[in-house]
Amino acid sequence: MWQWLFKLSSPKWFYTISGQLMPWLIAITSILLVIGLVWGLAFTPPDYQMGENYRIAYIHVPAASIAMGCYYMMAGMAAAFLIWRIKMADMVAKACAPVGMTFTALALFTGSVWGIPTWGTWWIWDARLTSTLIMLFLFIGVMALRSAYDSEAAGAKACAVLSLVGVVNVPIIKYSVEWWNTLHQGASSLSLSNTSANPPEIWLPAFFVGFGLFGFYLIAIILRTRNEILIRERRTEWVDELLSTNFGNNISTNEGLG
Amino acid sequence: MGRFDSFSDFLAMGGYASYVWSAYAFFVVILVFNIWQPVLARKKFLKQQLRREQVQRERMQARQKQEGRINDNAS
Repeated sequence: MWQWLFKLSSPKWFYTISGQLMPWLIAITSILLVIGLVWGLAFTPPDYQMGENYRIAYIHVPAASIAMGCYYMMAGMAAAFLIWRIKMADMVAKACAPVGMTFTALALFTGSVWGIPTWGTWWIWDARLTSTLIMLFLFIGVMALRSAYDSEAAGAKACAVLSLVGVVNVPIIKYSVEWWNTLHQGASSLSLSNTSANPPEIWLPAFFVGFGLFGFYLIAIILRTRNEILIRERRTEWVDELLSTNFGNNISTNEGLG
Repeated sequence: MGRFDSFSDFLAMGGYASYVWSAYAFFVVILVFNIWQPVLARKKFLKQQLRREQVQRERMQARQKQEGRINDNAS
C-alpha cells in the first residue's frame, strides 16, 4: 500500500499508468452514462407530484455529491502537499479546482431550473444553496489565487492553505438540510445515503448516472493532471523521450555530429 | 419511447420541456468543456515543444556549419 502510494507520487509512473487506464475508464464511463441517462430520461415513471420535471434530479444529485467529493479530494491533496511536499499531490489539486467548479455550477444550475416550477423560485438564500454557492466561490478563488502568483511554489502553498481552510464548508453543505430548516429537501432517494424512500426502478438509474459521472470526473482530473505533468517535467529526459518517440520528428538531435 | 407514447411526447416532458432540456443541455456543455479544454491545452503544449526542439536543432546545425567553415579556412 505504502509502496503503491510512493509510486503514485512519481509523475512518470502516474503518467504511464493513467495512460494505460484511460481507454478502460472511458469505455466504462460511456456505458454507465448512456444506460443511466436513457433509463432516467425515458423509462422511469413520472413523479406523482413533480411530473416529468423530477428527471433533472438524475443529474443534479450526482453532480452535487461529486462536486463535494472533489472539494474533499482537493483538500486532501493540499494536505499531502503541505505535509509531505509531494509535488504530484499539488498537480492533482490544481486539476481539481476547475473540474470541481464546473460540477458545482452544474449542481446549482440544474437545481435552479428544477426549482422554478417546483418551488416557484430559482434561488433562495437557504443554508444548502448558500453553502453550495460558497463552494463555487472557493473553487474559483483557489484558481484565481494560483494564477496571481508568479512563483509556482508560492502559489501552490497558498492554494493548499485556502483549500484546507475552505474544507469546513463541505460538511456544512451536507448537513445543512438537517441542521437548519431549509427549503431544500433532505437527502433524496437518489443519493447513496437514502434508498428506502423509493422503489429501485426510480433510484437505480441515478446510480448508473452517479457512477458514470464519477468516472467522467476521474477522466477530467486525469486529463488535466497529465497536462500538468508534461508541462512541469518538460525538461526531464523521460518527457523528452516520450515526445520524440510519439510525436516528434527529431530524427536525431545529434544529426551531423557523427 | 419507454414511458412516453411518442417521441414528441418524450420531447414535451409533460410540459416541463424547457426545464428538463435546459438542465440536460447544460450538463452536456459541462461534459464537453471538461474534455475539450485539457485536450486543447495538450495540443498547444505539444506544438510549442516541437517548435522549440526544431529551433534548437536549426541553431545547432548553423553552429556546426560555421565551425566547419572556420576549420576550412584554417587549413
